[in-house]
Amino acid sequence: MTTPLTLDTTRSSDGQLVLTATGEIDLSNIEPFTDALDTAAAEADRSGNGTFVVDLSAVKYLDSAGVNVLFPHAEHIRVIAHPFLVRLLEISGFSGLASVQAAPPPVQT
Amino acid sequence: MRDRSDELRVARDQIEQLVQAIVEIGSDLDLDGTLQRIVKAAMELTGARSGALGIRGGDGGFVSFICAGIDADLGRQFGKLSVGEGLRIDDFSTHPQAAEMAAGPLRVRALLAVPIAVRGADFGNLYLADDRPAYVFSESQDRAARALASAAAVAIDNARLFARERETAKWTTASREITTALLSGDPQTGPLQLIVNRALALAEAEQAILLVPSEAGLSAAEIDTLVVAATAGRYASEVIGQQVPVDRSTTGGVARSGIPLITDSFQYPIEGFTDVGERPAIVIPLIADETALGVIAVARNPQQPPFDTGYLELVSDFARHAAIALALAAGREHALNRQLAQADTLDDALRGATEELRRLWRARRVIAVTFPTRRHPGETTGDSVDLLAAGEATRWADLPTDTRQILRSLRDGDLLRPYVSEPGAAGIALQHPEGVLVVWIDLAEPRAFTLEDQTLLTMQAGRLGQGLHRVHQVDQQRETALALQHAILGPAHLPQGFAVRYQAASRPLQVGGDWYDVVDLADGRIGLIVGDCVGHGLAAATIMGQLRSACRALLLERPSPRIALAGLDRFAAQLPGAQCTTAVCAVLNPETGELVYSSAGHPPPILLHADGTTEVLEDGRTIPVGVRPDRARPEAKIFLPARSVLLLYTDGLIERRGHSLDDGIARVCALMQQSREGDLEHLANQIMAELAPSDGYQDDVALLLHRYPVPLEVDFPPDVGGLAGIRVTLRDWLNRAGVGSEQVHAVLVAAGEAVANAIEHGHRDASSGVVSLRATASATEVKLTIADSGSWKQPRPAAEPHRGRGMTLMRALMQEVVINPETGGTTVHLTARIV
Repeated sequence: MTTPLTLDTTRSSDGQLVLTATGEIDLSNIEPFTDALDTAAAEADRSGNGTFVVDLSAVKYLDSAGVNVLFPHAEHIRVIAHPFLVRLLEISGFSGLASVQAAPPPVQT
Repeated sequence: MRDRSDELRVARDQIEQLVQAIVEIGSDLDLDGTLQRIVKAAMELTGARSGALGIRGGDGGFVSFICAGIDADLGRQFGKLSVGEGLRIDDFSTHPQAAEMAAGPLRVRALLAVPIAVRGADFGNLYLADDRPAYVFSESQDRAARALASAAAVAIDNARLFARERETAKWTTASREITTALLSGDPQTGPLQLIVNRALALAEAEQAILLVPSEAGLSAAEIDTLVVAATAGRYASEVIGQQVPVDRSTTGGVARSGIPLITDSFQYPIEGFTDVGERPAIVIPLIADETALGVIAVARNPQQPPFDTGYLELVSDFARHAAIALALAAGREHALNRQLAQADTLDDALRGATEELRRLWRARRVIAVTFPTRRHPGETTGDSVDLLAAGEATRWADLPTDTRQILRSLRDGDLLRPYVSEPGAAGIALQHPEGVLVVWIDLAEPRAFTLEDQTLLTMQAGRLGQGLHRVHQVDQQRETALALQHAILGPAHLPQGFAVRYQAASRPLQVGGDWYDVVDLADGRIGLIVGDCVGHGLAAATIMGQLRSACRALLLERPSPRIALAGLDRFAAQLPGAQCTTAVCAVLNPETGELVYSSAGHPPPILLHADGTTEVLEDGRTIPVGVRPDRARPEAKIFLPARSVLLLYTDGLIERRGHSLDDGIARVCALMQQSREGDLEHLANQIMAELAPSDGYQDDVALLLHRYPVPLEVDFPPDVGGLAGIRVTLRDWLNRAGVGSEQVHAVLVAAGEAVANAIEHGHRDASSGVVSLRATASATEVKLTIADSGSWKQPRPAAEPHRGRGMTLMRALMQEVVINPETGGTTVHLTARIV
């Protein structure tokens, strides 16, 4: 059994590619997350300026495995993260390479 | 020619007779018998009708006469003759010395007197006399008598040596007996009395007294008064308790100088001792470790021979041993005893004692070999021995064959008899609860083991034997008591999150009327009971056992404290001795912290909050058990706050003479506040130790501690698929532990990293195995332990930067991260200080 995670890639009204993850990310579902990142990156390269948004505001848990797969895309992504995750991304040094933005705290986590 | 041959024949007969006589007088080693045989042989050899042997004392005067053929009083008259090199008088009445003798009834005509010298000293004279008119002693008879005298000297010397040996042996045996008696601590006869009794009997004296300093613990120079502490023989009742100044008394002088003396007069009058008149006496100091323990004065009656200087040595030896034994017997705080008293097990006791013996003897090595008891005489235990060594590591197999042989022969010989055949070493066997123990001491230098050393060793071995026996008994009692205690006192397995303490007032048997119980109820709730039956010891314990079982059964049937106590009311009403039992009964929901409780006249539970404040749970209380069985019982309910500690206890913890129960409760509260950091076991230890009165708890004490929430314990297979489920479990627990949501996330990530590592690295090559997660809360921290059964690959951050990221996260998110990689698996300890 893998940890529930839904991954959805859409284009926002301004045409920005957005990868939205909902659930938790750990070792058990790191592969679909990695694939989704790679797919989104390829799509962004093909169709736009090569950058895209990773929306993690509905991700309640992310461990170092998740951070690790974000790193290769650091220069090309903008991350919107749940407030808990912001600190994690800082500690791991990811925030130094990529743009990380805290999502407004949800009503219920 | 014929006369000549007759003469020769007579001479030959005489020689044969003489040889016969000499053989006879030496036929045994008893001195009195020897002397009597000398007189008889001399009479037979010469045909004289009477004979006497005068024996000189130390001052040269005659002290005793052995007479044959004449009355002893008459025989004593011979003592007035000046014998010189010998006398042979045909008609004594014309002799100038005849006037010296009392004219009286002593009829002497022919007289022969020869001196007897033993080892160059004038021993005495042999006198032969006859009153027949024609009787004269011939020259050959004179020579025969002289030959006999010199043979007699040898026989006397032998007999004396033997008597001395026997006397020495008697005194040595007496020393041993005193040592043994002091060891056994015979309460019937005090040690001083024992010594004085022995001295009296051995010296064949009529009176013996033992004086001790009126103040204990002074050096010889500081003592100013002695007091008669023990007496034996005549006038015992008059002399006991008499005081003697050290400065002006003979006994005081001996106490101060430490030098024994022989005397017949005493400087200072001791009523019932010196006023008896002049008589032979010997005064010996009792000195151990340069401290004068006392003085023994032994007096014979005036008719008995005075003590000779050889005796002085003998009695001094005895006194020295007695003093050592006395000092050791008095020294209850002796290091060896301390070692033995502290030990809980036989092995500990023996190990400690072996080290202590090494220290006491400044030995190079001390070996203690335990030979197990042979079940029947023929059984060979072979080399199944336990060997303990202090000083040098030693194994039985490494000992030289002859040493092993000596140790075995000691086992088979007399117990408590030192073996000292080689310089610098000694051995002794003693009783061990499981067989025979042989202690072998190798001194640092090859000096001889003196008699004093042997007494000391005997004493130590005796103490050791007794000590081991005591430890063994207590050990067995304790085992029995603990088994009993566990059987009736509380649950066999205490769930996590609880700590209990129990101490019975009646030691060493650890049972009493108090009890605690933790019961897993059917719906996942937990029943908690602490109770206190009236009384102490086994009687209270039997009541307690029944009430405890009853309460357990009642709770299992209906998880309601109120109903359980009401049931206990009815049960106790039927059980003599159970009335007035107090108890507090509670049912805890470990998921929510809901605690329902009811108290039957029991001291109120105390709740320690995580912030250090305390709360006394006074509600839900009414009368003790079994008093009014029909009366309804109340119940109260609270929710245990996160990381709070609940304390249930019995009144032994808080009751102090002269203080109110409220004082006691306040003391407990203050102590709990103070000790709230740390785990439950620490808190339990602190409570028991800090609240104990200086002389120990006088009443039974039972206490039960619970911290909410109970620790989390999860075991799971090393499979990443389970990670989310584990996070749910841990998150719930962290919520119960009152950890804020942001910190929950931090702990989840750190724990997640550790678990992921355990799965990914620890079990990369093996599909089976277990990962365990433990979490405990204290007032201010949560501690997590993640353990796996594999081995981590040490991450090398330079080569694989992403591998080190998990570790970085753990260290950043936790206050403390400790990783213990071991062959059996890796354990990670995480500590987070609660914010």
